[in-house]
Amino acid sequence: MGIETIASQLLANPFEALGLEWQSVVLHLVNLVILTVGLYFLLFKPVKRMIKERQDKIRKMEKENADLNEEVKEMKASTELILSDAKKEAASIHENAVKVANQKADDIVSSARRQAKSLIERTEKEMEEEQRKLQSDIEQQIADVSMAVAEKVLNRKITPEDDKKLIEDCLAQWSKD
Amino acid sequence: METHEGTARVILARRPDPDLNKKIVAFTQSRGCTAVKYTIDPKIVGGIIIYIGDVIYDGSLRSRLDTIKRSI
Amino acid sequence: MIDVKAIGKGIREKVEAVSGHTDERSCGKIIYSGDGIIHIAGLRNVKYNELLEIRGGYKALALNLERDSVGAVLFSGEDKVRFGDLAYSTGKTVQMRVGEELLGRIVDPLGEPLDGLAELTSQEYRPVEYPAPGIMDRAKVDQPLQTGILAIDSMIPIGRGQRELIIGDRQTGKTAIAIDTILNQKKEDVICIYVSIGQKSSSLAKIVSTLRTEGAMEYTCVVSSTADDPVPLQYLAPYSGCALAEYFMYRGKDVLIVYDDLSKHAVAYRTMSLLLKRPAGREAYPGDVFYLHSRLLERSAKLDAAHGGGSITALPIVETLAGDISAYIPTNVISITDGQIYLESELFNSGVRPAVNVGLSVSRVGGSAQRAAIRQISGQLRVNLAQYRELAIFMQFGSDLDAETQKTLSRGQKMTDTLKQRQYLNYSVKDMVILLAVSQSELVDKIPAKKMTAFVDGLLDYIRVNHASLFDEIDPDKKLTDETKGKIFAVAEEYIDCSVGEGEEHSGRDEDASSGQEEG
Repeated sequence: MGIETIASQLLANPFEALGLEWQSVVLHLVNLVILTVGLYFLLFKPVKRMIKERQDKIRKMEKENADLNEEVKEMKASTELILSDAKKEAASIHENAVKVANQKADDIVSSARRQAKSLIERTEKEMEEEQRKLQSDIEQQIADVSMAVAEKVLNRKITPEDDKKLIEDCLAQWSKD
Repeated sequence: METHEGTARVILARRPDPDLNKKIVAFTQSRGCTAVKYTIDPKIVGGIIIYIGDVIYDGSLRSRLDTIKRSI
Repeated sequence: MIDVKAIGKGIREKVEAVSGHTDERSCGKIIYSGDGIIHIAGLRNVKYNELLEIRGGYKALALNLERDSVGAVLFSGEDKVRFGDLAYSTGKTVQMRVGEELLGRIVDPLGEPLDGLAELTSQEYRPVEYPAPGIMDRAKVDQPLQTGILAIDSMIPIGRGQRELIIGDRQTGKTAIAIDTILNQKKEDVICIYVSIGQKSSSLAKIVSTLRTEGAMEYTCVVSSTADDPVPLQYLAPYSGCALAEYFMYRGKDVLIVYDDLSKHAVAYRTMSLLLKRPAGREAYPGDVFYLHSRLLERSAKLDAAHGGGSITALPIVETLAGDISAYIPTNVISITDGQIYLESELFNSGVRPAVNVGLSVSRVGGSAQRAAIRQISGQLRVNLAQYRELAIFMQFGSDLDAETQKTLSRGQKMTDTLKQRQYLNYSVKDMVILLAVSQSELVDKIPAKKMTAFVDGLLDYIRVNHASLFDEIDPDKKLTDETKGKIFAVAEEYIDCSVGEGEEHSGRDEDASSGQEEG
């Protein structure tokens, strides 16, 4: 029962029921407005600015991060490029070295071949010459024997008349000169 | 050549007969020799060798054989 | 194998070929024979330098004509000729067999083959003593004779028709220079004659086998008289070689003749003269030992176009004792020749080979015959090297050197390294142009001192394989253009980067590693 009356009293006259006057309520409301406006200007603005600044900063950092990432990527790519270049260069150097070596090997082989060929040619020539020498040795032997025989025969066979004729021929020829 | 001693040295394989002797003397005289000295040397086989001063006339069979032998 | 019929036929042909021999001859009697010298009584109308024939087929040379006798030296049969033997005059001087077929052969000073190959059939002969070409027959020496040796072709150039003495102690590489020069004439159309005078048979055999294996015998003739040949043959050898050279020269060919060596020739002549009882002069050499060599070397010449334009380039070799170039024979020959290449045993032993002493070596006429490109880039070489030597000697005593001096020293060292050259390795003119240009540029500062020799070895191979077109661009007879020079330098730099650079890279890595450790 009592509660119902209190509630109806409250609804009929809330201020009175609570022991408040409506002026103070108004004043309080005015106060609140003033406070709110004052706080808005004094506190909210700087905080907002601060937050904005922070946001900017974070955004900047993010951007920097992205840039860095980009850079890293780029560097990675270029490293690979350099690496592949280096590999190529190494390959070409190696190729060159192999070429030089091959050239040298060819030179050596061909000079060895030439030498072998000349050696064979020379040996052949020497063999020929050896044979020729042998032949001339035989000729010499034959000549020696035939001369000895001729001498013996002449010694026995030559008559004083032959000798005289020979001498006369010689004298005649010398006289002519 | 002109300053020889005037003696020709003649080498033969056998003694010369007078006819040959005459011819030899005639030849040596034509070369300015007044005397002839004979040497008999069977080793020359046949023919004649005459020395007059520095000059040698070599018509021996021996030297002919040698020449042939050397050229072979 | 052996054709008996051919033998019979051969003999018959020869017997038939024998013509009636000369019956009438001037003759004398041997009244002394010893040490290869004979005295002959008679033979009154024999002439100086006439060839004598002694019974038995031996040959002698009349050298002393006296009132009652003739003094002669025997070429053969020293032990066979006896007292009382007859000696005939032949009316001829000594003749040397000549002809194209002597190329590739080894012959004695009378033109008889010594190499056991086919008999020589050439019937052409030239007197071994022959007057030198007159002044009017000669032309200016204007064509280079490339030795293929960098130090010589750049600083002591030799021209065709010049006489350039190679002088030095024993074992300093005198013969090596001559042999290298012969080997380098392969594609030059130059005929080479190597005259060995009193050499050891073993060293001559080595030289011949080198010439043979390198394919140089095709255009070379070796006139050989070894130490055991009779002295008169040793005396005759250079004149015979020269007669053969003249044969080719008067046919318009260029000839290179090497006399190895003239000090032994002088000794041989001294032996003969003393045995012939000619008066002895300084060092017991006879009075005409100067004329002995001057008449030989005067026969080297460059003929003018009217006479075929041939030439004889002579490279006489003289051996000194303990570096004494003021001895009798060296001074004589130095004054006759048109310059000398002086080899030093000190340099040789310190690894500078060829051991050419650049300061004492000169070439009096070769400069005008040098190829234009070489002349252009080697102009400063001699001066620079001289400066380096001076500085090097001076700096042996000091320790603190400023950067500039150090640079000069290191460059000089590298230049010297470039001039070092292995035996039998010949550079072509274009090779030389490249090496001279690179070694005098600033590029050498990049090469570590120890790697210089390897760099020089490798560079030419590298260019030959990878930049063959560079060789086509170089014209040795024109001045080097800046463009070509730039290309040479670019290629050299490329080679430095890919070969010699390794060493530097390696040291660089070491540094990195050490700095890394410090950081850690």
